[in-house]
Amino acid sequence: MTAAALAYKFHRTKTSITLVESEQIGTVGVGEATLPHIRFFNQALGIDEVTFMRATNATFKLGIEFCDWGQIGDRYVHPFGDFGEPLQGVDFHHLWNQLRQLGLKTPLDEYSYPIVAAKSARFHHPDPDLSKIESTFGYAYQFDSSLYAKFLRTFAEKHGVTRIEGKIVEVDQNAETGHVETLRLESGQTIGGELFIDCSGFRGLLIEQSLKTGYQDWSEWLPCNRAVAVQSENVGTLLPYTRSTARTAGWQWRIPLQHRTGNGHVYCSHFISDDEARSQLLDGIEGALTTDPKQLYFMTGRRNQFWKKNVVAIGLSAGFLEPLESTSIHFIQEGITALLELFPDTAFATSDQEEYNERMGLNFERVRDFLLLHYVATERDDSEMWRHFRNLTLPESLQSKIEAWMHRGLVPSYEFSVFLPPSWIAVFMGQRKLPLAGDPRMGRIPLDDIRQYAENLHSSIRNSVDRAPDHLTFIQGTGSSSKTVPESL
Amino acid sequence: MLCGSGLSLWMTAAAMSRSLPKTIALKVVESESKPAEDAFYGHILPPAAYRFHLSIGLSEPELLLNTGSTFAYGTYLHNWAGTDRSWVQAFHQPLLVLEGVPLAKLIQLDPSLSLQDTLISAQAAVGGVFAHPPEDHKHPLSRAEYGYAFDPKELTALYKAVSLTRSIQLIEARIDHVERNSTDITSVTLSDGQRLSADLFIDCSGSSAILLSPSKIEAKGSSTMQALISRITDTPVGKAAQTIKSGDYGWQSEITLRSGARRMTVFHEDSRQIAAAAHGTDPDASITLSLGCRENAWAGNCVAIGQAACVVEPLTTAPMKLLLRDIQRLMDLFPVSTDMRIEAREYNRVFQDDVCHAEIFNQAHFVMTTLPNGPYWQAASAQKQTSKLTRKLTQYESRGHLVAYDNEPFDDVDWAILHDGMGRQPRRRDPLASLAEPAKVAARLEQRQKSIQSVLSKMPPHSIYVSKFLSYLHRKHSQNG
Repeated sequence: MTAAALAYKFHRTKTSITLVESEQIGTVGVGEATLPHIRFFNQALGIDEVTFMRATNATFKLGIEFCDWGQIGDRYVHPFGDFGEPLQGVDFHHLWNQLRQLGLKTPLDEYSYPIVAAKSARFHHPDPDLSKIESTFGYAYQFDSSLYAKFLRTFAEKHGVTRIEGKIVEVDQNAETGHVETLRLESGQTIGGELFIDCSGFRGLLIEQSLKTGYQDWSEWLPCNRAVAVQSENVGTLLPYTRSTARTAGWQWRIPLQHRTGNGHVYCSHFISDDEARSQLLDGIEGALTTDPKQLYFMTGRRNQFWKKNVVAIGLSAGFLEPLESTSIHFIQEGITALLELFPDTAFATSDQEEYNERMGLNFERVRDFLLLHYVATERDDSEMWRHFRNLTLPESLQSKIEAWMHRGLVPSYEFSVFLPPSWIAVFMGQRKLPLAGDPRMGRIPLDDIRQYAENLHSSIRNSVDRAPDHLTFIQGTGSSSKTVPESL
Repeated sequence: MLCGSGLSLWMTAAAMSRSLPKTIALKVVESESKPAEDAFYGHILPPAAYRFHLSIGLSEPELLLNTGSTFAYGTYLHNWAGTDRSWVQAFHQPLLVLEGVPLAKLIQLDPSLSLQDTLISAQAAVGGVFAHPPEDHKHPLSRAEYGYAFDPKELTALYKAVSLTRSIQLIEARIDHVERNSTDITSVTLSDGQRLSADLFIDCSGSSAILLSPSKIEAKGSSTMQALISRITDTPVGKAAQTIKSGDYGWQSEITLRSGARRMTVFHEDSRQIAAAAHGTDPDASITLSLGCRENAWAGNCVAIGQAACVVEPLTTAPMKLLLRDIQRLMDLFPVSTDMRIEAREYNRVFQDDVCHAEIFNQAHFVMTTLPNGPYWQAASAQKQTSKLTRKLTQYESRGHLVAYDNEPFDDVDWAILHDGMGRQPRRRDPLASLAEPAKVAARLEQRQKSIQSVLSKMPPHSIYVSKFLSYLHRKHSQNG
């Protein structure tokens, strides 16, 4: 992604970009599900959606279904969109909660267009007319990340990137400044550069092994440290959403692509053995396996500095938070966006690095709080892991958010955060954390008006979704199916 | 219970009476008005006021028909701080992105270019013309935003009238004594002998903060400011902008309303004589205010609004923006029970952020290599620069990067205009901006400036637009009975 983005920006300039990639070193492949922001990344590079979808076996994604998180048997969807619209300045979740207390049985999910569409396995692009209910959602993709990497590699090379196949065996730094100067490959070739982007994954070949940046271990809050991943055949309807199912010592993902389903189990090795984790994963898979299970190891957290001297770490080399909310690819995108905004000259101004590090640090911290919310906003206490979270001392930033929500259904708003209030509302409400009080301004709105508003919204969503095409038909109808059209750029 | 007087009292009362359910009984204790202090909210309502007015059921025609207000595209700072820098701190939609590069960065590529030339609201303000922005997003004027020039006394009367159309118990009295327990206010004793209690006390008493002040919360006083204020009746409606001029004494603002001009001269006490001379007319009022804000604006069961919480210099729309935000924050966090600790915590968190972000915008006006010698300027330059402002200035001066914090009252457009207006030049070009083809950029900018000039040439003078618009509103009003 980084090579493609830089290539696109600099391809008509004197700046030359070299990509050193080793086939010997596999990719992790976690993060096949994305957030809606990925569309803007592709658009910024001029990538056509249909071409991209064919090349990566992509499906559309309207949100994530969370199963067994609040309590075993529970299901809710975190959608890419709002729940209803405010009425006379009062957010819809307050209105719904009041109606619920008065006997309403319709779940909150049914007042969200993307959730109803997702559960009905239907999809269409958002209507550009913002007054229509069909405009009230965003969407992302679920795709084969290794195919996306290949797609972008070709894109990058077409835009002037020189790709060198090889394994880096030595990194030479300037004795005085500590800047990285050359990379020596196994073949003996040396490659010099002015700016080095470290996309080497968890090990952080340049940022950590050479520059010794240091790592902030966040296992205290996000203790899951392993994953086992496997692919399976598709079974049943092609769903436009990712599924995350809570387990006794972690959670399991299910990501439907056009040609297969990605599955994995993220878990904490303190609470379950690798064998048990693998067994739990395999027991929960519907289709026949198409690959052998692959074991992954990680430590949640982030580098102390994402940018140090003339090295910028992007992706897993910068840090890792479990992909519970599909943020892995998003962090790559954030890193690229920040790098382009702060792209250095050869003087490497300290202020560029400081700004980049400040910005990325805030990103990581705010996502960490949102992920942790899933583990602590729950009634589950049926295993050692869930009891561990019950007794956890939370970061103050999260603790105060939970208290504000429980007290009065308030989500303190921050402008710079991937996850805005509707996301927090989805998790709180979906995991049985219903506020004790609502917005007092609701008292001005006649109850009949609230009922009528909710009914109208509900039927409007239902009627509209019923007219929408099903997910697979839409993919095929737009020519995005990898099965009907050969891969091309 | 709301206590105090003036703008903050009746704006808050209007919002509460409109938004809260009738089961919440509102009492307003209005003490003797101190209209001069309200001048420290400034004389410009920012565009955000439009939304506030809608929320209290006040339309633009009602505002114009019931006050002498005129339109304002922003503030024209003339030869700021004794320099040759003049610019309109204009209200404007987000800046365009041309050739994949934000406009503000393209402008930095050529020192001869000015952001002002690309802002239609700034150009209209300078040209003395006005028209409402059209809904057609392709029209150049749709990029403009506008606020209102107002007289605090007139506006207070209107907000009071709006408030009293709903059920409010109004008591005209002074607060003589405030009774408290360890955390809360339990009751207040009025000058007429009444003793009143309430669940929540809203302090709108201005800088004296008679409800909040004694509760062991100290204002972070920084400096004291003097102001002379005059109403100049026979001045015709001029530009759709406030004008600010500076001198060794400090600065002077002037706006023109339909009922004449309002002039305010702000200075340091030691420069009173030259300030009075610069003021040029006998002042109707002379005020002294200590600038600064309280650590917390919500303590126990008392919330301080506006100047009761924070006094900011009205060099920009910062004081009015903060007042509007105080009221919105109070509405969003209106307590659900008598245990208000969570509301207070969140209120104070956002309040502190808002104040800090508003103050650094004001402070950035004084970060210059040379300032006039007067004590006003020396006091301003002696203020300690916060790390947030340092970060903003460092990034801009380094490469023209606009740092933004959460929900700032002044957005990146405001900051870009300020930096450009003050002549701040990034030390280096942004590498990505440099990739844009100069010829293409120049052509786009020229095309943009031409289309702005074309629109401006068809816009009427502000005074005529106001006059005709008012005639239309009067006709419509009389037709509707």
